[in-house]
Amino acid sequence: MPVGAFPGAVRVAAIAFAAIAATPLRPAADPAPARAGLPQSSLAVWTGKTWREWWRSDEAPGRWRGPHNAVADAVRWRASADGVEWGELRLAGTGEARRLRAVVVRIDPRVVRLRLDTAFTAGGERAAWTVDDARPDAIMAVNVGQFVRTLPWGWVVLDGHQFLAPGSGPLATAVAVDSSGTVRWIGPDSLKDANVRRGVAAAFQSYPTLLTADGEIPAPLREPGRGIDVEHRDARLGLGALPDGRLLVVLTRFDALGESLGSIPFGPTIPEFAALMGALGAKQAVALDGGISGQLLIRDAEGAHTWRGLRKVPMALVVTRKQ
Amino acid sequence: MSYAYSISARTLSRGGIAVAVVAFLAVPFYGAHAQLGGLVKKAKDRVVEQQVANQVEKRVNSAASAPGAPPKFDDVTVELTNDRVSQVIRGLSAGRAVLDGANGSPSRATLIAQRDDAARQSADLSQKNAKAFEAYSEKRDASQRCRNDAIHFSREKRQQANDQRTKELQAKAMSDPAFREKAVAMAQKMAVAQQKGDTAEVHRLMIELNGGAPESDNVDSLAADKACGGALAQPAAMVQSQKLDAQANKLTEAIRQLEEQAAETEVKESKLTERQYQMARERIEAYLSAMKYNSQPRGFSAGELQALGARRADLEKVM
Repeated sequence: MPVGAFPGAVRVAAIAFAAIAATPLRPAADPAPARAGLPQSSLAVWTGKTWREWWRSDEAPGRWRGPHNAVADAVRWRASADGVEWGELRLAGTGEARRLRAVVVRIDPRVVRLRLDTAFTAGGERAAWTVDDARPDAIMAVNVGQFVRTLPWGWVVLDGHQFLAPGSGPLATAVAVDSSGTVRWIGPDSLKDANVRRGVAAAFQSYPTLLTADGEIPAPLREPGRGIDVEHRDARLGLGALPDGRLLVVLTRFDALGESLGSIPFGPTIPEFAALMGALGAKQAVALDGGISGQLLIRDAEGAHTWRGLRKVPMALVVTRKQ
Repeated sequence: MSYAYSISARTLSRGGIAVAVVAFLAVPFYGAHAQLGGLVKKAKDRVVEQQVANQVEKRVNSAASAPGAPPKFDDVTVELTNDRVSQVIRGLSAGRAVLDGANGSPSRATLIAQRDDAARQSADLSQKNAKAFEAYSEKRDASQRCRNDAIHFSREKRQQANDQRTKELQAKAMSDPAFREKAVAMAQKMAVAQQKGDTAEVHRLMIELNGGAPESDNVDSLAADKACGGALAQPAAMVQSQKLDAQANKLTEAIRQLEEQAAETEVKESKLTERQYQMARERIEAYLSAMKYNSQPRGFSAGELQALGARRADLEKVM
């Protein structure tokens, strides 16, 4: 029924009701249970008009059930290719994180092809991959996993063959892609089961887990003294899963003088970064190697957009078009 | 705010007030206080939000005025003084010695050479025997398809036979009082045996009731073997190639373990905590990277730049 069909006050009330109904919900997050307390900090997002504070350490949610509208709406998405879109948002935090930019990428694994590329120097003595080495047909490339010196930490499967055995740790998450392109997220305990590792075309492990399968922030990220440094600030990189099956990549950059200082490893704490992943809609997420390693490439009609790191890494997740 | 915007805002505001008033009148009276309270709370929230926004703005602008300033030094990010740079160099040197085989194990270079050799031999075998490998894969796939079909057929056939046998037993139980009595008696015995946990007796009674031993578990596999032949033997070169791949993987793991040992040694010899060492190492890498590409290292204090500059050559040697 058109709105004009309502007479007088009833019509106005209907408009008011419709307006209320159309107003997006505020944070779709559960409050965290009482705890020892994270260090005092907050995060604000630039909405395009003003700074809007959306997260505080003393009111940090323990679980994310959906995106935070102020954060999600702050991203202006641009299509890079079929199945890949990206955008940026400005964040203001505490201390060294008072001026940040986050590059956000959404990838639909049903539409694109995911693969892992590795690179080492000729003698195998150093990791050698940078975004500048990404294959020419890559529409997105990002460093993945963690590494000690040259070889990636934890489980690595390349082209269907196990290259490195699984690592263990309570906050380790494995991301596996099967031959059909389906992405699976595997927790540390499940990886012991050989059946879980079967049929995998490419896989890597990383840590710490930022959001568990149901959007919950792991306990060690909610309070100090449980094995995760909840205070340290660094540039961050993370991979998440959206409820519709798409992947979410988020890279934070120091934003004091545009991208010229982008690779300086100033950024959010791990709990703040977990909140950012949740606020952007991830239901599951894991941190990748950030700091001076974090690097990302996106190719679109305008050409290549690169966010370089200061360190060469052994392995990257590369997205190409399906043949 | 421009004049035009201001007029428009006022117009909107009047319109908004009119809507709010009519909406207010349209809602039941008992909700009015709550509505008014909500409006006041919203106005207060807006003021608080604006204050927060102003504070954030101030913070953001202060960051722009001092870009690349050193980080806040704390328990993890320690200032890289002359002494600490020396500690990191000591750690890195000790780690490098481990990689070079100082602890008695083969050096990383040796392991890498062995690993690459195994991988190369495997690749050579695969290349030289590509046709044989392909033929084997095709045969194996065809055999697998045949076996799947044979197993399915055998299972279906047995199921049909079982269904038929059950029907016959049911019919016999209806028409043969002696058999019915026997079946009831055996069912009672089975229940007793089951309660005692005597699985052997249950099994024996079931055989007796069915009038014969059940088929063996691998009857379907045997049927598949009969229809399609047994498992295909892999070409010798393929077996050898797989062995070499397994050897290469083992060596890769050994390289990783050696690197982990080296990393642990670095931390231990540096006399810094693990977190302090990793952070110091990462910051030194950032410094060296900036120097390599002739750009200004950012995020360091003047003292740190001096200390790092003095030992740059040593750092490049061991990093």
